[in-house]
Amino acid sequence: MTQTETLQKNDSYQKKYRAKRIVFKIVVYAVLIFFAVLFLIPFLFALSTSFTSQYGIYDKNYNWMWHAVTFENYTRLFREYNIFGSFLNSILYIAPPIVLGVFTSAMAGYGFARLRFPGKTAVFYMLLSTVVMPGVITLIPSYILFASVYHWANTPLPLIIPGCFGSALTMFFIRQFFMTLPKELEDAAKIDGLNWWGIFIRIALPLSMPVLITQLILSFNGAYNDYLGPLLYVGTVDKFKTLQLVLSSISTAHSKPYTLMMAGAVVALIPTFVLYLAAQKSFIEGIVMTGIKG
Amino acid sequence: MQSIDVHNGELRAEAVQNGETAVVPEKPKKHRMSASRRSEYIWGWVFISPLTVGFLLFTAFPLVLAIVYSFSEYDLFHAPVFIGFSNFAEVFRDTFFLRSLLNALIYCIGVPVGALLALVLSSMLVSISRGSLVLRMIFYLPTICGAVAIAFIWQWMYAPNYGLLYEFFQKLGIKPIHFLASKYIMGSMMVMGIWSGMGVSVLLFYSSLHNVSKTLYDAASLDGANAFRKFIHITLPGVSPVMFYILITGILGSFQAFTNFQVMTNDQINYSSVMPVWWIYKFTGAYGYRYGYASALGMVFGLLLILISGIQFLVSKFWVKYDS
Repeated sequence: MTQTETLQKNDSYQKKYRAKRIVFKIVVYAVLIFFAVLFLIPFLFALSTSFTSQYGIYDKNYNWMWHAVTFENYTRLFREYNIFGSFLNSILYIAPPIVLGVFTSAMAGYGFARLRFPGKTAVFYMLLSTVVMPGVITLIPSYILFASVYHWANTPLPLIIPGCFGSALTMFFIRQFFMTLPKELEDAAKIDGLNWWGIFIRIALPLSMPVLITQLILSFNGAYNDYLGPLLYVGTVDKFKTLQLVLSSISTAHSKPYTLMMAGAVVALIPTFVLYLAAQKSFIEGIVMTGIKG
Repeated sequence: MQSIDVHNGELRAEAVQNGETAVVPEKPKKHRMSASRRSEYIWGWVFISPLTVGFLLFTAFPLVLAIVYSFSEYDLFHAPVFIGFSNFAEVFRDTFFLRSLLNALIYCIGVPVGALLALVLSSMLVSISRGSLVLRMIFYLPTICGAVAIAFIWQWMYAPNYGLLYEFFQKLGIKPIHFLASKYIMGSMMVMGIWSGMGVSVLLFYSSLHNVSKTLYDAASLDGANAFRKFIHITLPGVSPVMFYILITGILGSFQAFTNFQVMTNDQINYSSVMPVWWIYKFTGAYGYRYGYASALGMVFGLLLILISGIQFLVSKFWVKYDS
């Protein structure tokens, strides 16, 4: 066999291999795009319905992909339901616990990661064990506690106060970050005359900003979408209702105004969607880090 | 007392620096704690105190109450009455509660199904270069959506006569089913659950697949392994820790699902769709103020969840491969 023949053979083999790869790529893309469309359809369907007139969806010739656009559901939504007020409530209940909570969690995370003190290991494992414990065990007793011991029944306080003390899970993830910091940083800071608090505030906290922002965003997403908590504590008090509670009240056992419900779902989705687009990287990092849906 | 500390525990440096406290070396060894160590002790407790206090007030205290109230009859208005084990005896005779456990178990079938689908999709996502980010963002979209909005959207998807799926079935010439009828509701909820939870699994698998060693695949290719065999022998063991994580959190989450069921059915509790947390919630008002009984239900259900997770941990020893 001459050299050219070998080369030619090699070439045809490569061509065959490349063709196989291209077919493989096309199949992969086809499957992925198929599933992506499948995942998007409910959203598109909801979005389209929210711009359809109330009776339009019952029309025999209704085509959800192509129809006359109306804003009547949105105007009705904002007129008949306290969307702004309840959104404000949501924000008011969420802001203190997530900001203070992430701060206190970071404090504890720093303490557990960088300081040595008696009782540290015992307390750490005690706190961490609560992460594994199913929340349903303390659901009702917490309700009793808030209602009859702290006398916070029918106020938003049970939604705000506990979160301000931080969460063991957030603490854990921030601690993991603090453990990677070099010790020389602290030694240098001590020589500069900083005490532990100073090191935490001036050095550790600024360094951990990306982790903190990720935790803030995840906490926000979780608290914003929470339903059971607000339902238990402020579910019967109109002026304290959160956006999710007002949203859920659009649909009742007796009437399901689908177009209005879809408008509500779209409006409720806007804040988290904007946050997701703006801080997509943090969102994804957070998920990969914690694996927990917000 | 202010102390400018150098290295922890380095007493001599300490004594030199803080002139006033230089008497330290004279004291017996046992009581000798440098100011720097003492300040570390104090600051340590200062740092962890808010979280610990919060834990005591809002987790430990309710936990103690959970034990106390599950043995009592309590309606919030009268003092709790100790009634021994009768709440627990009732729990095991409560057909609705037992049915809710069965429903939860059925709902959990969606977890491995969703996890497998996520694994297949993320394996594909890893193999492409262009568009992977956009696709992942699409899969992740349902995850940022609240449970109420998700339930609304699917209520409409499943709506009899006018919903998208009903019309789709009709167009295909298949007689459409009533998706939310008692016979089909668990299946319909499962589909919705897979849709809404897939994004997290895809993200987790995607980042884990990037860490599976490329050289393993190359070696397998040289040995003539096809794509399927590579998937079974390299991909699956490589992502098994993530798979385990997804299964354990997914099953815990599915067992405790509440919002999507409660909103989907407009809080109309029914044998075919009752879920444990929903049933427990009902005793805080709708079904009488039976807080003692609700606490006992929560206790039994919570312990059951711990048991299920424990079993999963034991079984995981046989199939989860952690990197050396």
